[in-house]
Amino acid sequence: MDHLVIVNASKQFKLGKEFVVAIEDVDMTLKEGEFGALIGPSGCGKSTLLRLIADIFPPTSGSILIDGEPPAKARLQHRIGFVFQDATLLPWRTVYDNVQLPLEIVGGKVDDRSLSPEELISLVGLDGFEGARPTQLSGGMQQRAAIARALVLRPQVLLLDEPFGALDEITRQRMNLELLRIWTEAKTTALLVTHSINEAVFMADRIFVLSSRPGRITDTISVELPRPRELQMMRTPAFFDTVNRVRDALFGEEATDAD
Amino acid sequence: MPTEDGTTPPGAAGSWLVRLRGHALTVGLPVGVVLGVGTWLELAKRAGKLPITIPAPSEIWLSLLNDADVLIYHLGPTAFAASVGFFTSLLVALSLAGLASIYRRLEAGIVSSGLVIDSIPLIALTPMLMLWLGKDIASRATIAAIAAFFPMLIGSVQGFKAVKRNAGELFHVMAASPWQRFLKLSVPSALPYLFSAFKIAAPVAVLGALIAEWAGADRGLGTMMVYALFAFNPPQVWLTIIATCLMAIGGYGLIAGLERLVVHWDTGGTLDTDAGAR
Repeated sequence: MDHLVIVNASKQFKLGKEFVVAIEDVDMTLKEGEFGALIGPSGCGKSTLLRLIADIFPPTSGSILIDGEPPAKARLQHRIGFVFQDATLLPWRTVYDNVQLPLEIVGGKVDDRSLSPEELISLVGLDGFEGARPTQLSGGMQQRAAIARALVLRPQVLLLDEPFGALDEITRQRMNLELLRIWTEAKTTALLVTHSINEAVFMADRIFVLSSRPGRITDTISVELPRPRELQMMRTPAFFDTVNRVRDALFGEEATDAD
Repeated sequence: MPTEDGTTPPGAAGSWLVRLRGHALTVGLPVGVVLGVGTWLELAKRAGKLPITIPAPSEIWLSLLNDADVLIYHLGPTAFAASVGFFTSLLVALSLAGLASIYRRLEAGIVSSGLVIDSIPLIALTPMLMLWLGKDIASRATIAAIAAFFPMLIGSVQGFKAVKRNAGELFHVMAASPWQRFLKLSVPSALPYLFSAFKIAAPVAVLGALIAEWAGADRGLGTMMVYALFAFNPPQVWLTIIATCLMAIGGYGLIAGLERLVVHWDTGGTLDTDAGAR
């Protein structure tokens, strides 16, 4: 069953007196428990699309449905988890208090679907750092705390806005594996914004390729790699084949000459 | 440097020594300057090289010993007027800044009105306020409040704008209520700015109270200063000047101490920097 459905969604922003079209006529769907990736050049509206799904702002036209209902409903029922490009941890709170912030916001309405902060902190490998301040952590550790926070209410949709974009390659690789492990355990529908082709192929079931200005989905590529994904798969012909298809979709004919 | 595997808490071994050295500079430098200048003044005065308006430090010290009770009698009202003025100013500034943060259109108007009030010469305003409000605490606290108002207003307006965009979006996605957002996000984000403003405003409130007392009051450091001036008692004039300085510094110190208790996190912050760039 389609969990997330986007039909003909467009978003314009007013910049001074002019309207800028961020995304135009986007159609896409994600099945329950599916891992999608949005890839495209900078400024193609990937983050905008993610924010439309999270009901941070409404589309100018078109519709977005989560479980057949507007995203506002999913948001108000705390069924959406969002991970930002920077960890966006509150510096005055400890790791533990940051992770349990959504529980505090929900207040008495915590139902059995929520996870305990202890479990999650251990799931993201931050045991022993419960009492640490965000500024005492490395970038990778901060981002893991942010992922734990996004998962604490066991959201049905997990939206990730280039969560590892600022990390070095080695940490990034490790975080990708951890995110996949966490995603398998948490069983959510996930949508990852990235501009790394390798990352998109390694993580996703399906990759949505966006063009820039205005942002449009130009291609959808299915990744035929088995799960659980392992690092060795990045050396297989199937992996390279998919990477090349994504690259072709992004660059068109240029790709054949470029590299 | 924080690493992937371990953290470096700010209070690691040996840091107390560093901290002590830091304090030695904070306190030691002004104390050293005061001692140096004091010694020089003392020697110059004894050699008869200084005008009659500048007393030797030993004369000020004698004045303190002789008039300690007079000084204490006058300290209280000034401290009281400055405190009442400070908190009045704080309440008004916070309310106006809150208003400006809810209705963004009002912000420019509120700030420029604050600037106009700030630019009124207090020396001229004080006698008029004295006529309207009488000679008691109301007018003195009002002057102190006006003096402290503008830094307080600027700091509060800045503070209420200090919420980072992503943090705001986070609270939106979590479906936080306006009240939760205010308490758990806006207030903590604003606190470092508010304390900076309070630290500037506290000494200014003391000076405001002093100006008010100059214009006419029965008790207060300003009154004592005026009496000493007209009695041509330079040691006592300088005694009141030093007492005023200490009171202003004390006000700053109280707020700085409170800040250390309240703002216990690293205000360098994680919200505005890229996670990996640190």
